Amino acid sequence: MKRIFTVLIVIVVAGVGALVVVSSLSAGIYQLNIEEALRMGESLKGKEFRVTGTALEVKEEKPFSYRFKVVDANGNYINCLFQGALPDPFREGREVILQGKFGEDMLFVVSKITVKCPSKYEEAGKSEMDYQDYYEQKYRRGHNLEGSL
Amino acid sequence: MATLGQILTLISLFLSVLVVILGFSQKRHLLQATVEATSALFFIDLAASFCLLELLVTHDFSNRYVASYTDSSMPLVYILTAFWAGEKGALLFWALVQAGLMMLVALTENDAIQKGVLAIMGIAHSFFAVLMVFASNPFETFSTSSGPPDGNGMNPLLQNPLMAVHPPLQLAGFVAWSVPFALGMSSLLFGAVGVQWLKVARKWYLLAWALHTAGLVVGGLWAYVELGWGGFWGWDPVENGALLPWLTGTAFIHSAAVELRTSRFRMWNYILISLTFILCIFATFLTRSQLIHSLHSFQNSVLTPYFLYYLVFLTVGCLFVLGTRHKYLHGSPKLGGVFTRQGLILLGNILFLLLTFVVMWGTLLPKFSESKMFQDVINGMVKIWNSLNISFVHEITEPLAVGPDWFNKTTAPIGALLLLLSGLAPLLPYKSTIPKDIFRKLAMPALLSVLSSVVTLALLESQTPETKNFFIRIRSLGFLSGVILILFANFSLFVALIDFYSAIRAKMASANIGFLRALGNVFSANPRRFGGHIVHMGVALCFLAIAGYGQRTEIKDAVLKPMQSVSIGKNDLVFLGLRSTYSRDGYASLVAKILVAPKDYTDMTVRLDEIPSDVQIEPGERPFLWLVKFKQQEDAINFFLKHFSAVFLQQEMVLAEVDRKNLAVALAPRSLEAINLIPGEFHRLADQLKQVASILGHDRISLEMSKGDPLLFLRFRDGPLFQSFIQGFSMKPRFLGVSYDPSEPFKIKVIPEGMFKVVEPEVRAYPKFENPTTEVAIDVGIFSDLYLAFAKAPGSQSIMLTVSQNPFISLFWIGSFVMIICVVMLFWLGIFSRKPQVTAVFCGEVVQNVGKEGFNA
Amino acid sequence: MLEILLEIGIAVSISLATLAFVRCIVRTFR
Repeated sequence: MKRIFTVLIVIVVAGVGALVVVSSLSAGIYQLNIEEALRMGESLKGKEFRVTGTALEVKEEKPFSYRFKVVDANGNYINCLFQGALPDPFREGREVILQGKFGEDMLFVVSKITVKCPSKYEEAGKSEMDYQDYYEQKYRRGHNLEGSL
Repeated sequence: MATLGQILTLISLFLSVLVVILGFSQKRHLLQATVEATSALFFIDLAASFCLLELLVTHDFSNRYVASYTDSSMPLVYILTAFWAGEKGALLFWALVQAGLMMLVALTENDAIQKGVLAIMGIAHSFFAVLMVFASNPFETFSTSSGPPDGNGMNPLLQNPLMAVHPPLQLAGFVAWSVPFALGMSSLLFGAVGVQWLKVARKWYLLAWALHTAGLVVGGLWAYVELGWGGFWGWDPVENGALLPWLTGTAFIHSAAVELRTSRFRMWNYILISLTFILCIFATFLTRSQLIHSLHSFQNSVLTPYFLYYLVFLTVGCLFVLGTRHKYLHGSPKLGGVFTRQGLILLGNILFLLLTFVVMWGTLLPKFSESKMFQDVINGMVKIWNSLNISFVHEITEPLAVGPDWFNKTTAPIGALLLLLSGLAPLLPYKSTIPKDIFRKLAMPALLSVLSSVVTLALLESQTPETKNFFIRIRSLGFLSGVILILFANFSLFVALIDFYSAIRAKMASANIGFLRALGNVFSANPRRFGGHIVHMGVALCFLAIAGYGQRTEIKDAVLKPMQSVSIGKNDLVFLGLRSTYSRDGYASLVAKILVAPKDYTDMTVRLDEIPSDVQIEPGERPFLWLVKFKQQEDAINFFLKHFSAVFLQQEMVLAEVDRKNLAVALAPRSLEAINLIPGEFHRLADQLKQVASILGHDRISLEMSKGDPLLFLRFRDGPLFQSFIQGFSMKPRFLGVSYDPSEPFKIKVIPEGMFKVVEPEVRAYPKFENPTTEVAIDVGIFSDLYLAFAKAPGSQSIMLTVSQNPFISLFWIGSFVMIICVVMLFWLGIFSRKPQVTAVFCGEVVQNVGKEGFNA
Repeated sequence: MLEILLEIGIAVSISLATLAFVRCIVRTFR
């Protein structure tokens, strides 16, 4: 009796597990970089996906409607349209994760923007090791640094 | 000071290794030495903590950590909480709490020391000491300079009492699970099996659960109050990481209750506590590494390899211990039937593990799906699934992620089942036969819960009026799930209440005492049973909140000009305008004034002074809007200008200069700091004046902006207009809003004061931080919250308002509070009671002390 | 003020730790 129950439970749990996995695949949102998104192009039409890149050439067409480009290190870019309130940290030149769909003419209609919040050091384009220099520049100690540590 | 700190962390590492070595021995004198070493360890960690606090308090910016997270202008309290705000400090905090718990255990659990418990906790401490010494030292200084003149300061989002309290609670929870883990492992290692280790561990795992839950809830409260998206759980990878051990830990508590009572589930319990402890480390790893892209993006951490090795070590270690001691795990009594207390708890274990799997799967999917091997495996299974023709699923070719919707949809049914079980299980005994009166026992709570659910739904309805009727809405999955949750939550609530009620009534009758005394009596006679009831009631309240939240109404993108309104639920929300101010705490804020006016407001009495006697005032088309009618257009215009100055202009500007001869004024902004910090603010002020000028005609008022200073010059053509303007600046505003429409020149629309509530969400600008922060405004109500946030379009007077009406959400905080307080009380009782003694295996002899047993039902 | 308290705390903690450590050594080699 107990054996039957155990087998039953195992089957049910496995079944539920399979459903969970399958539903995640159907509901999953592709995480792409710009090259991949451009390459997949037409086949992505109508499907929600995410791209990461740097936001550039941000223009406000009318209140709460913005057009910009999301660019990667190789210069590949996608034209984007976002309607709504930009998240607080959004700036030209910041790295963003954009979620949305391709619309007409490969215009990426953005539904959600997540801005990667840089720390103060990263803002200056420096790594942790360099932020001493960053501070020196910022506060500009005008005295002669020769010989001092 | 920094050097001292570095030395102390080194000593801390040395001492924790010493504790491990000494603690595993069997010789009495070495074990006594272990206790001493533990004390030394704690005091060294304490000293190191004081050092770090000193560096913080004295603003010693030569220390990297202090420079990263503080600056000289921060309030003291946040300087202190910076101790745990960043990675390095959090490591030291972890070590301190770990050492503190080790000392507490050494003081209160004599027998446990003999079984390597301190040694195992010492291993946990050593890991963090290793991290501090070799990878991420809080006392690190700038190597080539004496540091910057001022620090970075702390992100204003973190300068919040909730965010100050969340990390220590969460971390303490993680650390606290090491105590039952150590007790469990040591019982396996030293062969002292049986339920004794659970009896000792019970107060500790209750403490751990309470701290852990508090950490999660405070984190959720902070997200709700500070982050502005309207919810309290976003299924972010870092949140999920902390949830995983909570799920297995909660399962463990229930499963341990069964073992304490019937000696079943021995293997389950060892596995669950090991899993919980390992998941705590995993959660920390997920938070600190860049494994999953998360909103909580910390910098790339060097700690990742250390964590990976440690996780592997722990997993292999636990498996090894469990494997070599497996003969101790057998011999539990049989289950004895599914429809028993233990049967349902077993089902609960399975469900909790399923939940853990779901959350882990969803969280790690983006990482897993990057690997080609994973994709191949999944695609193989997908091919099989597709061939079964149940539904069609695409194969994976790219990394995949799931969003909050998926998490909500998959966890909801499992959560609902667990909720139902929390009501059913207390009704069933531990015996293997279903009691004959089970249906009678079920009937009362079932009936009451149906009635109560109807009431609950009616309340829900009143908060979010809908036009469709119940039987149409029930066809939607979202509404159906809400109804089910409400039903099950009420059921669980009533099972607990009825048990309380009958016990209290019996006590009152038998001992002839009053209600409160009977309550106290009943609780202390059987704290586990009634404590469990209270906690489950808290859980039910939380689920009611979740059900209510699912039925919320949201408006995400209402663009409003001043005096425009939008309606949500039973209210109209009127945008009254913006106001910029500068706060003494060092930030500028742009405040949006929003009037909350119930649509069905019927009391139309309004006291208005200032109305000349030959003028009528009458209600407009909304309760908040009144019309003042004039016979002469000029009177209307003057009235408008006077009150416009009083209501809108005077709050943000001052008359810098008045030239009565030329009918000209110079206006300056009230707060220069606000103008400097908020982009486009000066132009917005100028814009307001431009609008007035265009309404009244550019021939009557002309506006000029100064070239250098932030000044605005207004010149009036006629005297009375000039007078009205000046008058407005010297009087108290009588209205909340006033508007004039040139197409209806004899009417002025006004919004009177004092009738309705005004809510004020803000956007704040801090001098040191480039990003403005949104400050949500929440109008907390008994039955629902009104939640508002806004964004401003640069250069215009409009705002984009995000508003959400969240029914029942306060129940979540109340329910959580009830759960946590109750468990803390149970922990407290556990520490101080004369609890049953442990059977100790000591130097090969079995020494048995049996003390007084306070027993459960 | 806080500084002084913290420094006292450091001194006291280190002393107690040293005491405990000494006792530990003693017990180990007894």
